[in-house]
Amino acid sequence: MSAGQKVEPKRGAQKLSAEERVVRGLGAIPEDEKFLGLMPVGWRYDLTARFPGLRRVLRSRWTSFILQMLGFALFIPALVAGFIGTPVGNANLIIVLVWIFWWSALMLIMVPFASRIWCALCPLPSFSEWLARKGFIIKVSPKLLGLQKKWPAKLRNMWPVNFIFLGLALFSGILTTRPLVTALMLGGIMVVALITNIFFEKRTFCRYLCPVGGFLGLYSNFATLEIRSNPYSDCRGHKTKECVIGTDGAYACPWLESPTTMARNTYCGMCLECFRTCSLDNMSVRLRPPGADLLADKHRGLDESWKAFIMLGAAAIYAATMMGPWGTLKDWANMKSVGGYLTYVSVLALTVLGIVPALFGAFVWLGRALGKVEVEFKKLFTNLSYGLVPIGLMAWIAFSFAILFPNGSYTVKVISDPFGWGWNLFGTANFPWTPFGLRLMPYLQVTTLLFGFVYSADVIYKLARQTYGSRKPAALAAIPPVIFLAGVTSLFTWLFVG
Amino acid sequence: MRWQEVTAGLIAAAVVVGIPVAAIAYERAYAEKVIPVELQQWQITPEIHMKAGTHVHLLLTARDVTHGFQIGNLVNIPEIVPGHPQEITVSAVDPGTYEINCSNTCGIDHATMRGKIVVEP
Repeated sequence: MSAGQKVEPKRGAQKLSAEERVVRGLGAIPEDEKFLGLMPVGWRYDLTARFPGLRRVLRSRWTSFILQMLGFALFIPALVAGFIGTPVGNANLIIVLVWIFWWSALMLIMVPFASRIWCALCPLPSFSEWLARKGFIIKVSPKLLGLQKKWPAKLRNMWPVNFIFLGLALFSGILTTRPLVTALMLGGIMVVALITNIFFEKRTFCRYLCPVGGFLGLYSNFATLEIRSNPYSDCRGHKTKECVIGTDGAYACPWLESPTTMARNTYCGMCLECFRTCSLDNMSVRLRPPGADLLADKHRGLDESWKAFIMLGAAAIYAATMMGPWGTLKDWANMKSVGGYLTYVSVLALTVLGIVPALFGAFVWLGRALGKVEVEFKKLFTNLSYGLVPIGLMAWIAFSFAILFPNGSYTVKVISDPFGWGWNLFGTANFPWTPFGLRLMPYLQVTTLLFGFVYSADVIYKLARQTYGSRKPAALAAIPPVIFLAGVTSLFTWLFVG
Repeated sequence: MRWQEVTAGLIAAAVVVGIPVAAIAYERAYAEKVIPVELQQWQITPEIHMKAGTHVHLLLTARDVTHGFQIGNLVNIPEIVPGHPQEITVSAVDPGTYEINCSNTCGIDHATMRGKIVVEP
């Protein structure tokens, strides 16, 4: 196939071809494999083929800019509110917008249904990107400003963001309640992104340093949306690979991915450059069953396993701190005393970095003993840890219900008085605190957790089969990790509704 | 192509710079109209100045005991309790000087507790 040749229009629903299953890391998964016995792993629905207008929108360079501007339109007033607005958290836009509205939207809608769509809206790296590109929309010059150095090979993983996220998580007590602290954090991230861009290439900051990038990436493996080349066969024969090297009018993948062979959503920031570079119009947005990437046997690593442990452990500790009846724990997290805070920090770090992985490792070790077929422990441990993604995401969704339902009504108040200065822009400044859906919430939380448990158990079994290559040892090896999952689910159920 | 960059730059500037500037400008305009008025034995401060044809919001705060706020026979707020400020809106039609007095017997010199609103043409 030569450059510039148009691909025949495709229609929505399709099955991954055998060749594409191999490229996407699903080669060892049987063709008829289904999630929960219902949803075929290889099922895809190509939205760009079904709705050709969507492709035109995605190819337009204005689309990304408008999305970024939407992000800015929320971010700038929030930052102003954080720096010069009222110090009362629930009357300040930055706290309500970031920790109630954004967080809930991220966990309840964006990550599960739209992958890393937030990265397309995120304003934090925009200044640095505009500066490097010397423009807002048009590709002005093939040469980017800055030293464009490569990120050190040893750090090309999730370990840096694991520790950066954990570092911020230690301050969650004050971060989520003090407007100035949140503003300093967001402003600080923007400055670090700018500095990183002076030295390193493209979206190095987003890929390797962004505090939320790690869990967005990992949990986006569960998302029901993906950007992939479709059909892959057209890319195989296409040697110019504009998506990797760029064109006169569009940039090479800023996220340092190879869009043609990309197997997982982890590092796809949905910037849409691949739509603009592809002379074959071969990029697509596809629907898929949740968790399809978790089975992709490509680029797995312990860095991502630990991300799963950190997120799972942090969800439990946050639930206990913010929603539990233990006042002492709240005081520790809120830095009421140095000793208490150090205890909280130690417990959090020890739990997420040591206790959760050690417990999971013990159950995997038991499973390996039961399986009776020799497989490398590290490989089994790493592979099965991806099975914690569904339960981890569902725990965060259940957590987000408990943020949104009791506190969502603050949004109505702050849209009229975003800075706490006594404004009443839309006549809702005196809207009282009105928790909603509290009766429904426990049922939603339990249902969500049960779904997470069942889905995780299913994924763990599939991962065990992928690792062992046969059913019986896989089924035996999956039993202890599923017992671990049951324990985790019970713990969260107790924390949320017990 | 160039028009696209210029348009995008203008949009970016409007959002990134315009929003904070507009917010602060609005706050200034708004804040000028909210005048904190303190009532305490036996004074009403500050002297209020406004233009004819405009209106102001007065935030009435009693500092010591319960007071009242009366402007001739135009406005009367009979009870302003310490710790519970009340906001009222006063519209000025005709220029002149209007006397304010406390309308809630607040102590021995209650009758001397006076203030002024000056409506300038």
